[in-house]
Amino acid sequence: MIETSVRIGIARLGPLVLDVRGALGDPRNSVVARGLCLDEISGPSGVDELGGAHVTGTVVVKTLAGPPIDPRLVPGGSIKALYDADHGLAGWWDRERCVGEWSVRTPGIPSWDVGAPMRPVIAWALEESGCVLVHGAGIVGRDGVILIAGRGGAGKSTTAMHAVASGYGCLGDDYCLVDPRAAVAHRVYGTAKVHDTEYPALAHRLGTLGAAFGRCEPPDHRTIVRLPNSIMSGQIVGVAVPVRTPSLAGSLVPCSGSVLLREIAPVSILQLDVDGRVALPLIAELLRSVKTYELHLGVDRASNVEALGSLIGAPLFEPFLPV
Amino acid sequence: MLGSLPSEKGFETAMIDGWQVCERVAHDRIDDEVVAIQLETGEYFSMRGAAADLWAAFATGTDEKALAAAIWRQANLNELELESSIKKYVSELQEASLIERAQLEHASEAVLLTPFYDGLVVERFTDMQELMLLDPVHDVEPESGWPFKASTSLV
Repeated sequence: MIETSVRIGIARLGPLVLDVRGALGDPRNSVVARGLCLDEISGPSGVDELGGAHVTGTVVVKTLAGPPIDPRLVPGGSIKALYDADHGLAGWWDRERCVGEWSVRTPGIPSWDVGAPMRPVIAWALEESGCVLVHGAGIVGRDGVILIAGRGGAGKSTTAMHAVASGYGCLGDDYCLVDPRAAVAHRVYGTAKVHDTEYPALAHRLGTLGAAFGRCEPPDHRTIVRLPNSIMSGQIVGVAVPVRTPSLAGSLVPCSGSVLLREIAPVSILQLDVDGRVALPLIAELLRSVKTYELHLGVDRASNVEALGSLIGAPLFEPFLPV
Repeated sequence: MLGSLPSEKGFETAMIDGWQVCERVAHDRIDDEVVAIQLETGEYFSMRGAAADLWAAFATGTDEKALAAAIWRQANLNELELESSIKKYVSELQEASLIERAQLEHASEAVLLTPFYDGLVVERFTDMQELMLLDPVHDVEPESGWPFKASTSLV
């Protein structure tokens, strides 16, 4: 068994701070730790230095060959827990004591948990913070952030990584931490999943930054890569749901926020088992306060990124190699 | 029957047999659409127009009579059609575990905001159920605790 203590803290209006260096005894996770921002935002003792922390606590991460964690634990009251036998994942969080555990079975840690570990525990820790983990990719331009929300396979990650290759910042391709009242999105994980059909071209454009970090489990044929920039937060100016179209060029088409509520809320709430009675109004509040769109994805990937640029402005960085 | 009954303290209001939103349901409205998620089953629902308007009354508790009054003011339905419409709507919501029976002090008035009554349509989505992680709170063996699954589901 490898066991390590993880400090978890959420600063008021600040980013999630999660130090997972050395977690699982796998050096690859130190990459995740940088993505999780502790080093880049506030130094190694960031949790303490940020001050005004809304939630702080400790998560013990274990890898196990046998059954997961303490069988005497009975969830309920202040304790939330899950046991995913199929993937060998188990975890719990006690909101009163701000202590939790995250266990993964070895061998065979699901690659998506390497790229984005402990999502449920993070979501539970956030439940009373006024922030919410939203299922969506956050793309950052000079004029703000657009959250692209949608189901798996809808085109979020592909669009996000093409935007990254064009010089835009990215707060995450799958989940972002959102403060709905301020309409601000924060990065949680410094990784993204790229579909195998897109990976060779993106890896070529991104160079070493597009190097594979891990693999998703079949049938999800995706490669996990590091996000190549260190943008951690941004003001949300719009939320969009991708819609595949046969058109050549992509475009942003205004739509009702209710369409997005239906796309974002169920998956954000049910997949992470957070209290929907708290999270749903928070997501709705965000959608009432920003512009909402359908992102009509064209066959031309570059045009999809240009469509995003019409809302979020120019890229923050020089583009990587052209397509 | 509605009215007031005498009691030791004087008069107390008779309770009304009505409906209210179930405890384990999250819901919100944007524009003309209500999205409601049944957190136990993982199903979620969309209601627009009149169905969305009437839903608001369930949050504070209402009954069929109040729902019917709201529709009656706007829709060109005869009594049978109205009754059938309300019965089907309430039955759908109850069957989906979105609402449950409740004893109410008073039934909240329902208000139709939609300019045209277009029926009471509840769209049901089940595609998120497979994404739900096992929730051991409802699946735990009481004797041995978590993470041992109950031999029969308690849900």
